[in-house]
Amino acid sequence: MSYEVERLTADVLVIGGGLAGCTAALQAREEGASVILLEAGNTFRSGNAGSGLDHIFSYVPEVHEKVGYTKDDMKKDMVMFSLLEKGFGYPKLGHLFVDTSYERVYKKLSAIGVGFDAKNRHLVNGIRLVPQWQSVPTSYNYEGRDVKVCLTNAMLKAGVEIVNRAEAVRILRSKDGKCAGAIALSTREDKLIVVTAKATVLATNGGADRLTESGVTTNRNFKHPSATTSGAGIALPIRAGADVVNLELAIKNGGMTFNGFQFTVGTPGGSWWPAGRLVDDDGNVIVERSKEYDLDEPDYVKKNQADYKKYYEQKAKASKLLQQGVQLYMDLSEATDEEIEQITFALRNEGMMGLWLDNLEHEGLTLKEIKVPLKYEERVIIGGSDAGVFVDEHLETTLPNLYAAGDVTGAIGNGFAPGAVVYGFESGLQAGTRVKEIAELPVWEEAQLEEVKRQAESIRAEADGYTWADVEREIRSIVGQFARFPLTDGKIESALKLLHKIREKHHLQAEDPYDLSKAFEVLFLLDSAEALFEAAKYREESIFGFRRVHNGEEKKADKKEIYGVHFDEAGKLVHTVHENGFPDDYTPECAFTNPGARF
Amino acid sequence: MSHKIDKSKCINCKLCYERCPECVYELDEEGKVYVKRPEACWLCGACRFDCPKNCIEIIYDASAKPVILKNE
Repeated sequence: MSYEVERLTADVLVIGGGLAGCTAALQAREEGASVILLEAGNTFRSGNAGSGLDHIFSYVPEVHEKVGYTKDDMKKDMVMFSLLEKGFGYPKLGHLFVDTSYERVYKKLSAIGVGFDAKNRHLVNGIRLVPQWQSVPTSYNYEGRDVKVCLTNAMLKAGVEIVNRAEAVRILRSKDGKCAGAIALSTREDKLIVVTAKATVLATNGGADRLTESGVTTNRNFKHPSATTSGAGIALPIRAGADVVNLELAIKNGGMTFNGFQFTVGTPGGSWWPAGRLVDDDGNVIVERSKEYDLDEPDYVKKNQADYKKYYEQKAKASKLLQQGVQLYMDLSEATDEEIEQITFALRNEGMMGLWLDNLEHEGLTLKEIKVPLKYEERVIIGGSDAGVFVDEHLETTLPNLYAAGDVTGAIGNGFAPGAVVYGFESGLQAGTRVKEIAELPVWEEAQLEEVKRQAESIRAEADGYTWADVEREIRSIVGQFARFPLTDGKIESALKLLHKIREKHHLQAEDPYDLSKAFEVLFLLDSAEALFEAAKYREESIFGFRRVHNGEEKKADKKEIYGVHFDEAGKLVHTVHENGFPDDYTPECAFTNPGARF
Repeated sequence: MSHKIDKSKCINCKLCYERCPECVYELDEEGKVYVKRPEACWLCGACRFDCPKNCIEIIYDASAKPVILKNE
């Protein structure tokens, strides 16, 4: 079998057509650049927001100025994300978020037809605010089901060249050591698509959470996270020589799950708020439903802060009870009819939850009468927004002319939808500005294309190999077995030995182009798993919840250093150290911190 | 996962085949849409609500559906 090669060129290439990729493409186009976007699915319905998300947040001047919550207050609260609360990461990008979020999330999405007119009492310009994360409500429910449809139509109108069913499998390096574009596989034809570009935005998911059974399981049969988690977000940059940081800190052990989801800070929040609560078998309320205050209520900010603090404490207690074997349930029995109507509206706009509602109906149940059991699982979880490709304050990675935005980025705490929008626009602005200074398209060695072509053809020719699903399961078993705290030298060596064996002995097969794209994803997962354990090997001391025994001894790190990994030009994995954006003696200035946080 | 296309309503517009973020749907030799890879579905539900004829049903398998009780 011989693979056909299609060659394209553009000023800016965007890899991945989720929220970050689409917003990056729109902004780069606005800067006057020609833009090609590669998407493994179809931008109309791909990415984490593919079938919608019901809440998103920003600073909202009309509301926040009224209650005395300033942008500076929100900047302090932004450290609630990821490891920033521990003084680990880069606060500058959080500030950029606060300063530009209203313009970029609310105004820009409104302008392309996304509806924000939800029916509710907290209406200011039609925004229904729901409490989440910050010390006053900053999230709003909106008609987010078709956000990707709106973004796709806007891109088509703006002249972005969208190449669907094209999964990027390699970032090209120019002869002078810069990013030169990417190679993609068609998922429907035996064809490679090669894009040479002056600047590239990487906006495809980090993928670390596919290294074990997913914490946010969307495919219930395979315990698979969404299709958006291809692993490319780690493998592509490290192979191209761009640093990926904090990989070892993506390792977590144990967590609460709820309705098949990892129990995150917003649950029961987000869609369920304000009426969801947690009760035990005897009907004792462990986590209370939330209160909503009128914007004119005196001490609005203080009252919200006191309630959030209580919520986080109750949630930490719930986690402890579940670990002790106490059964807890989420119910909506305190919800009013109006709230049930709002929750239904929210769930209909929140991706797979619409299907969940259909299935509830199929079972003959109504929201008001459900009781959803929670559980605590001891298993290894790989995920969170700590790990990802390193970006500077202009969202440029350590490989010149390669930018990144969305869940793929690390160390800046931006694994959240509005972050994908805000940093997506910013990366498009930066890349679109950069290409104005570059006269010629980059030149790259053909050997990079030959290697991918050979690999694709050999997997398609393999008659008696392993399927991608088999190899993925094997990688997960290894990670689930050995990524347990405390990480020891022995566990890390065992894991690496077994992963190397998979690479040497397991020849993948693929029956069709789709299967081949999955086989490449599994190779990305193998790269990611190896890099994860290599990163863990390098961090020899315990820090936050990451526990490490080195030479038989556990030491606590006294310096907060950020570590990265990438492959050098000789194909050797190298370690790097990045200066932390916070002082070592940092204490958070936000109104409260989350005692239930795993790290 | 149980995917059902109501063939009596389907007009073979191929929207589900075009928009599915994975490749759950494929075209047969006559160019008609069928469910080829139900196991690849991650339940986004887009094919169902984008279908102009409302003819797709996706019901959780008994072995894979979330546990939900009735509050009594």
